[in-house]
Amino acid sequence: MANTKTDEKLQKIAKDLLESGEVSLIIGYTKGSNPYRMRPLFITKAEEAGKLSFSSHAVQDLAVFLKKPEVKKFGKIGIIVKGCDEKAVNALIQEYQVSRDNIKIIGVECNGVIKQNLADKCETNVSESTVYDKCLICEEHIPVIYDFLAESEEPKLVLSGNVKPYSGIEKLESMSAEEKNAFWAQEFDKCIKCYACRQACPLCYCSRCIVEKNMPQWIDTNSEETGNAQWNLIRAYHLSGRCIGCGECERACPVNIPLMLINEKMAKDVYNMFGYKSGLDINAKPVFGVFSESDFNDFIK
Amino acid sequence: MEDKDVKKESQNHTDVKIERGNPGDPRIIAFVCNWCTYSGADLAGTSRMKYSDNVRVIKLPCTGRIDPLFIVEAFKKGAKGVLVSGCHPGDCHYTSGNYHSRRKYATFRDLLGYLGVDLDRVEFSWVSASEGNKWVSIINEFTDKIKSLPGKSTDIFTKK
Amino acid sequence: MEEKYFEISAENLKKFVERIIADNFEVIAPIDKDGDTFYGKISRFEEANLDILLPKMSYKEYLLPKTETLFEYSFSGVNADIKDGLEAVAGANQKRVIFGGRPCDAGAGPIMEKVFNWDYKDEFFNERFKNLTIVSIACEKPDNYCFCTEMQLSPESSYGSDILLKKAGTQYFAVVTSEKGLNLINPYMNFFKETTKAQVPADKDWKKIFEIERTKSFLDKNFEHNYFQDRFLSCIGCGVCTYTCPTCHCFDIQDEGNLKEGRRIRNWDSCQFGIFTLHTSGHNPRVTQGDRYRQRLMHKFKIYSEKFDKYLCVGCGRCSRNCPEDIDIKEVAKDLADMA
Repeated sequence: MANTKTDEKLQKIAKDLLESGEVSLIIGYTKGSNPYRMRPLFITKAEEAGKLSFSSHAVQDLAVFLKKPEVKKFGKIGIIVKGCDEKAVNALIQEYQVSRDNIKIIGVECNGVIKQNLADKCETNVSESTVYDKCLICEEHIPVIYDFLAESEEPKLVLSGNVKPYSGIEKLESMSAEEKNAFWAQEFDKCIKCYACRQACPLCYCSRCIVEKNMPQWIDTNSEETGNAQWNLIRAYHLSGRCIGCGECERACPVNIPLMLINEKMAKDVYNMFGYKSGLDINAKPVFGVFSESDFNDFIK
Repeated sequence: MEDKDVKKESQNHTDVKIERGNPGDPRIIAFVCNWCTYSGADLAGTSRMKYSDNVRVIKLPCTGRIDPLFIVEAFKKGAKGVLVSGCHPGDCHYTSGNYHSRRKYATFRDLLGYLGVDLDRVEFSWVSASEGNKWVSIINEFTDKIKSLPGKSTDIFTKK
Repeated sequence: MEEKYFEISAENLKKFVERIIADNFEVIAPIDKDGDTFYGKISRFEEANLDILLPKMSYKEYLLPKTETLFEYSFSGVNADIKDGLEAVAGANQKRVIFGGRPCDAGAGPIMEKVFNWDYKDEFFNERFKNLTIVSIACEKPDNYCFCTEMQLSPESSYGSDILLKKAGTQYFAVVTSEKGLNLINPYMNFFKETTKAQVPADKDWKKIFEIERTKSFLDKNFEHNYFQDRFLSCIGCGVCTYTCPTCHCFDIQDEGNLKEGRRIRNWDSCQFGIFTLHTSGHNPRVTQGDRYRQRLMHKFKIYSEKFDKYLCVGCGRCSRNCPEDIDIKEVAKDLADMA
């Protein structure tokens, strides 16, 4: 496939940044193991910039690499991000994991990425029924913050409103406690504790995760009902009010647990209770780092 | 109190045999702050007020110290109900611990409910050092509420 | 046992499967679930998706469950009661048939068996393995991620299968390689017609795109090669490759319990996790993800083969298909072979 204008622009930005020495590493996308897949690419030399590319198959959230010690040691980094991924960069800046001065944000306009399991069946058409739910509710097709922007030539995503994103949340909310319990018991039963949800999450950056702490062992190590439920509960809780909705956990999950139904529900509740959306403002304090005297108090006697 | 002590305490409290009162009473674990609720419960005791004896109190410095993991741990160990209680808004000994924890618990409670835990099993309250009465009524009401739950209420913490 | 050959029509195959289900066999086959395909129990033949190349996960969990109880204990007063976990495993898989897996998945069984028996005999694994009956179907169209041919198997290999079905037009040929396979079909012989090897279509000439021996010889000499650090910068350290792999078998032994009761369990573990090699002192000999992915390659293509004369990989390509960051192990193995 030939380079698109977006590709060329990305390549030029990357080349200039590396040549001028403003960054020592560019994280971007390149063509993957088949025409329907993209993969992350790390380049340190200007002459490699020609490998950079972008398409509606660029599903990965590259902000996840900012937490890796191997990547951190490069110092100044340029990163190619879609709107959703960029929110992760913002959240990392808010939580003092990344310094704004050390990062060049190369935004790319995105009109939705195709679900990977459909792409693997050779789907190339970006439409309401082929993109992730996150794309249907996306308000950041152009990243909130960027130093450079590569516009897209692809047609805008057309929404007819027939596909309801995250429709499972409403369904679950209307269920009884027993029904919800049965639903999640069935989902969590599939969990194999590979921790792909954690590793694929740009905001799960703890150098030692709670499941790895064994003095005391808070989360049961087994991969049965009890251990799986505890892990999924705590993972979701640690991302409440922080999750930016990139959906990488759910995409990475090899057993298809609908993790975004939990993440989105928590994001919605946090917004309703505290009026906070994660990853939109690098100067805002994280929602659990602050409080208001008039916070939601109805549940306390 | 370190994490490992909290774990041990919640274990001891759920293990201990009920020697007095009704052995069928469901076990409640109460995580309370040192400055307000613990003193309030103490006041209830020194005033010789009577209330359900199925509650086991674990004292921590502040509600801000009460990690939601503690609630999970108590449920894991077989508690039927968990109560978290601390100083009224504005009264925190450490100025803002209870404000911070209020945000955490509002979210955590939502999550528990969404994952299918009966929210009648978790209770939050503000009880000051002078509110022995309130402590007594909260414990009694909570116990009654839990007793009225179906015998084997489902949750995600125990084996099916 | 000497191989035996049978003919069976597609219709009779369906009848055969329905009959064994009726006779209380638990038949595990690829089934469509949540937009993908997984192995799962079927109650009717139609539920099985035999067109799919490979389900997302392997059926390793029937040989090595994700959590296995080794023993349980409980105290009443001063008396301790200990229950051996092996009791619960006795007879496991006796009435279980894996139907419609592929030759690569089947090849994983004997490869794991070697690990579980070279020194300590793992009775948990052996009990499950000796009872599980595997009926595989030869592949007609491997995809770009498949490389079983390079891994000493082939899309039509019967290694590890008790029965291998080969499709020919509207009927199947069944290659029965073991007593277990023969015992399974014996009561239902009216569906099968014995035939000779000459009647079974010969295996196609499957082409290799690289020589695994060359990959090994690269690994022999290049432990500290930059390739590993550069190429696996994109590895995020999840356990998907190892947990979906049919041959990865590492486990972690853990205790759960208190003064009254508890158990010792073993859970799946992955060399891709940072704490896999973390020492108590805080030192970690495999500190980068490059080190960890190299370990996976080393174990698959070098270390295991030096001990057991086989490679610890069947070339199913699951780790490549499922990798969230699109690391393709076939491409990597070929790269290494090219560099050797």
